[in-house]
Amino acid sequence: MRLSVTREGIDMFRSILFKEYLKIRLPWLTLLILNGGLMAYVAIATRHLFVMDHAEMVWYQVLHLGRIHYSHLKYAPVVTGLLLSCIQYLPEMTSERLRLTLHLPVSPNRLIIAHIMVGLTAFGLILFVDLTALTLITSWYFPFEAVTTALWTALPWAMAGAAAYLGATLGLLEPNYRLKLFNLAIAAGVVGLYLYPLSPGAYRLLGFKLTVPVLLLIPAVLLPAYRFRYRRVS
Amino acid sequence: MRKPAVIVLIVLSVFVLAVYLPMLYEKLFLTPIEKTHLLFSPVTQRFIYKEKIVGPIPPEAALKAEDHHARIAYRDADGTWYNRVEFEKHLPFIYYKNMELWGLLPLNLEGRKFDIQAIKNHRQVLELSPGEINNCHPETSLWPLLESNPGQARLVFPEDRFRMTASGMEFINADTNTVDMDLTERFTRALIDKGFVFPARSVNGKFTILKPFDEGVFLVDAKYEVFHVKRRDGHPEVTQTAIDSALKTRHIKISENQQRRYYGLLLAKDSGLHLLTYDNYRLVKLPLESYDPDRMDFKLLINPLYLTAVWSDETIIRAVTMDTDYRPLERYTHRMSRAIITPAKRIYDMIFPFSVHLNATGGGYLKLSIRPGGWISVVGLLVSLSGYVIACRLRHKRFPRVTGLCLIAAFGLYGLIAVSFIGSEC
Repeated sequence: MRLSVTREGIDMFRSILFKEYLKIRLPWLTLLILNGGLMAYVAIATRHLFVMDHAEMVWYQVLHLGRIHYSHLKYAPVVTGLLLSCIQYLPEMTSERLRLTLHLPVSPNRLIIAHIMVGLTAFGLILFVDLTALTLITSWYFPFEAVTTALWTALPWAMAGAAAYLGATLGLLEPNYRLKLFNLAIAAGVVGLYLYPLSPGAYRLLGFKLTVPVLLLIPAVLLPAYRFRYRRVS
Repeated sequence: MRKPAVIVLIVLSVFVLAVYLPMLYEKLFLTPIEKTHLLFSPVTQRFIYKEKIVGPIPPEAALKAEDHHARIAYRDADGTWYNRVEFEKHLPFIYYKNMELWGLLPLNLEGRKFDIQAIKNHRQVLELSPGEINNCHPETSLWPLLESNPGQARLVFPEDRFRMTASGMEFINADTNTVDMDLTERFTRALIDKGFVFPARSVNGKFTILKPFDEGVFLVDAKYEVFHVKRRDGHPEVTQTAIDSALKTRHIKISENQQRRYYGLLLAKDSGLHLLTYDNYRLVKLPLESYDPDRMDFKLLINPLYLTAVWSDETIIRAVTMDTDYRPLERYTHRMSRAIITPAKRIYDMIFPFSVHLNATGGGYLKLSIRPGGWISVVGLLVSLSGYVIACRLRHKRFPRVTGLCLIAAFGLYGLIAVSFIGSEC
């Protein structure tokens, strides 16, 4: 009996993953193409720097003066995260389809975590493409030390994107408008922590501490899902 | 799973509120005040300073405010007030261009005569801030080694940068983004021949072409020996300095100056700050008291008669004046006007039981710090608790839940806001 329940649970979980895949694949592909286009622009802009100036002067500007040749990337993860969350949850919330899902014979927590994992994986794949492109572009023109600095600069932006995705989910799932606004404000605060205007690589010493606010957002999303499931509007 | 989710959301809310609410309050009600400019007057032989007045403007300041804002105080260590022109006349080595315009040059001080050229030839300012020290700021570990004999008036950047590896000084050509084997081999060999032990602990230099000439770089090796490396006519020129390795050199701030008296400042591991002279790399330890290089800004002002070292944290500024033989003559400590507790600061301390700060001081790394509020924040906690109890009694006709009260007692205003929104789930 237990085996059968577990198997059914796994099947149900797979069905959720497949449903989410079907729902977001086309918009996700569009986001991926847009991000790819942005990285192509970063490559062109970087090349242009070397066309306009001698290589040693570009190195001086980038390596010593802290010019960020990929600054166009800064807000792309946030926009990607926000859009991905809207794509995933807006249709579910406007027609309350998520309520049906939450009444399936699977733990609501697992269901929501499954939804979040799909979203974070989709977001992670796009960011992986962005960061890989950034690595390739930077290593083409600069020594590996510059690649390390570029990644330490772009990683907080990626974290901001993940926070934007989770924060928007936190806001979208909450049924009460007062709490929805509060959740969105807290999420915006978390996103802002990763977008301070600083010198390249300035977040480096924070290391693992950098991920804590984003990791905390994952279990936090379960509260609005619970409230939505049990119709706690006021 | 609901309970952990509520706890996590509350923790996150308190954290975010503790970052942004104090920041917002500071932007709205606290005016950032510059540090006091503290100097030594060779005319009165007293310390003299300029700072912004916080609070009511004293009548003496208003009287002296003839051609400047009355909120700026020009005073000396004895409490005498000055107007701007008097202040500048007391610092002729700094405001020497105005002295010339006012026809006050040449100066006669201590039986010596100083014209504009004499003043220019002896002026130098050396500075060191916490964010500049090695490993305290984000830096891409690639440096240019300029040609010290460029054969022309201005310096130019070379086509390469170098990195210090575990076994060599490696040059990378910027045009091809590949290692220049020839240069790498020549410089590494020159360093090894002089006794350099890899890997290097630090690379110290002034990496700009906006300076009168180039003094190359100072490398600290694995055994804390300091080597002076230059590129002269494309070839390595390495000197092992006599700087004591027991100092465990932490940082060298190089500042090329036409006088060629000091290479710059050398910071030892014990926080001792030394002047690095051109006299065969002789060090002169500066007589600083209570100096903490990781928290304090440092400035050394050199003029033909005195050397004045000034160092300050967020509230206290200290100074010592030395004669040209580096003997301390006068010391002065001053609590800066920015440290005055204004009513706005008192309210800040009262309403925020603690605050979370993410700061990258002086271009350094971003650091997270939690500043606890003082005892006065207990008042804020009590007000938050009372407000919550009263609101609950009025709105819900009942005494609030213990969980909510505990949260407010622990986190004050932040707890109150979090409980007001998420309280129903507690």
